[in-house]
This record gives sequence, structure tokens and C-alpha cells, in this order.
Amino acid sequence: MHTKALVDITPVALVDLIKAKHHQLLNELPGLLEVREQELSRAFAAAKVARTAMAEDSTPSNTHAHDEREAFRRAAESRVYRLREACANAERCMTYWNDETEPWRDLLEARDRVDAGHPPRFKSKNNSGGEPS
Amino acid sequence: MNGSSGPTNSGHNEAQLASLVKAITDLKQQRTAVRQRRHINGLAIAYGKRNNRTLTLPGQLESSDDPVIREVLDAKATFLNAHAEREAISSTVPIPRATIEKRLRHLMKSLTSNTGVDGVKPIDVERAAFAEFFEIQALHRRVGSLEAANAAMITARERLQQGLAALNKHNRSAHREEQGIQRRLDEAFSAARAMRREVARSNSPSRPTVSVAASESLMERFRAGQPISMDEMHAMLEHSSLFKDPDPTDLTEPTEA
Repeated sequence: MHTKALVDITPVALVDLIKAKHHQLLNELPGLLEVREQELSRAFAAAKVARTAMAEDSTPSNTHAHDEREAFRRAAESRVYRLREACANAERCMTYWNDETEPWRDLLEARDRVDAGHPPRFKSKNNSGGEPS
Repeated sequence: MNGSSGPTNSGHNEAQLASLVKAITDLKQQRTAVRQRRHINGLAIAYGKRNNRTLTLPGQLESSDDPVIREVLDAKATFLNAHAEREAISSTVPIPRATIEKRLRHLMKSLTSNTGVDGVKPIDVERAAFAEFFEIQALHRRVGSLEAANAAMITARERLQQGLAALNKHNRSAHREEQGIQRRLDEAFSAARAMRREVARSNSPSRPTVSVAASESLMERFRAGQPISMDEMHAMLEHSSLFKDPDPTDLTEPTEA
């Protein structure tokens, strides 16, 4: 995005862009989550079979197959958890940005302080951390 | 000069001396005025220098009505104001424009780009990024004000430098003027000194004078050991070589007497 557009963008416009992103995410993520959950079910079943086989006969090939499937199961589980967390975050964000009372307006306090001539909140080597002067 | 035309010449010389003394007095007054001007110019130059951030204006400058000095004082006041304004803004802008713009781009991407599962942040992170985006955006506006204040300060500094250059030139011309007055004063001093001698000489009582021949005969009498009066002695000394260094050849040859 061009610098001028970044400098000129208003909070409402940015909120709209954020909402559009979350809308898109909420359209994509559930489908993806379903696929990943199916994958996890398959991985879980395969790992269970491998574990049983290794319990009956702990040959090196059985042990190797078990380790591989167990690793795949853990990775699939991790992906599913991350997806579930992402879906939950996207939903929370969507709820927040869609709120009719516009709670995000409170976040503009820092902007107003800088506009009033105070230094910013973040620290830098030249600044003591944005204490009002 | 001899005493025969004494009274006429003496009066004329005294009149000349009086006019010279008057000229010297005038020149001294002019020199004092120029020196005073140069002193005030020097104060204004020291006050106007870019690195002098002292706000106390020397009292002698306040009352000066010299347009060149007034211009320097105005330019200095404008420069000090512009500098203070720029410093006030600068202290609230801790990062440069390029860093601000880079951060804006980063925050915008983080807030609005759909980068898949990994791009979904918790709401607290998103809220913080949103707040920071608009804080940085406001900072960007302050950078604009800072640049405007900086440009105003540079303009004021250039005006001050031009004023100081003009004042320096003004001061150099006053220095040359003072040198000219000093030269004329030195000439007038030496002329007055010479004239004072002339007047003193013409006012002193005239001494008896003798002809060269008479002086020669007096010398003969002196050599012969005959008594001579003090006046004759004085007259003889006017012309004789009695007290001059002897001829070097006399030292190698026996005297006739």
C-alpha cells in the first residue's frame, strides 16, 4: 500500500478492512478445519493400529512404523489445535470489530495524545517512554 | 626663520595652530563616534551568532536604531523562535520518517492481510496493533510539522547569516573609516606639533647674530686666548665648527701650532 494511503486511512476504513479479512478467514477456516479433523481421525486410527502391532511384535519395522505414525498423529493434532484456536480468534475478533458500540474507538487514545503534542508511548533511544511532557 | 618678521608670522602661525587644534578635536570626536559604533556592532555580531542561544539582549543594542543592527536583531529573534519551536516538536518525534513509514506498512499488513492460519492473532494483539497504527500515523503527521518547522528554522538562519554578513561588512567599513580618521589625526598631530614649535620659536627672544667673517675673527681671538663675552661666544658657536668632530686627518698629522 502506498505511504499516502497509509497516512490518510481512517479508523473506520481500517476496521472495514480488518472485518473483511476476518470474514474471509471465517469462510475459509471451518472447511480447512473439517479436512484437518478428518486427517487427524485417520492419523489417530493409523497410530492406534501401529501401537497394537508393536505391542504384539516389537520388531524394528513395527517400532519404526509406530514412531512414524505417532509423529504424524501429533503433527495433525497440532494443526487441528492451531486451526481451532485460529477459528476461535477470528470469531472473537469479528465479534469485537462488529460490535455496534464501536469499542475500538477507545484504542485511539494514543493517537489523540500524540496529536496533542505528547511523545509516543513506545520507548526509543531518544525518549524516556512517552511520559507526558 | 629669523626674528625680523616675527609678529606677523607669529599671529598667522597661532591662527593656524588654533585651527589645527580644532580639527584635532573634531577628528577625535569622529573617532570616538566610530569606535562606539564599532563596539555596538561587535556586541550585535556576538549576540547574533548562530550558536549563541542566550536570550538576554545587551542593553546597548536595544536602543540602537541602526537598520543593519535592527535587521540582525529581528532575524535573531525569528531564528530563536523557529529553533525553539522545532526543538519542541523534535523532542516528541523519537523516530525518523522512514522508520515510521516502515512500521505503518508492517502494521497494516499484519492487520488486514489474510496470511492463513498463522496470520490470525489474538484479539489483544490485534487491538494493540490497531492502537499503535494510529499512534504512528499521528506521529507521521508530527514529522510533517517537524519538517515544516525545520524549513522555517533554516530560512530564519539564512536570513540571520545574511544579516550578520551585512553587519560584518558594515563593521569593516567602520573600521576603515576609523583608520582613515586615525591617519588624518596623526597628520594633524604632527602638523600641530611642528606648528607649536614654530610658534614657540617665533615667540622666543631673538639672539644676536654675527656674520661669518665676524665669527672667524672671534675664533681667532678665542684661539689666541683673548677674552670674549658670553654673547660673542654664543654667536661664534652658531657658525663655528668648534664642537664638531675634528677632521680625521688632523689626528695623524702634527698640529701647526
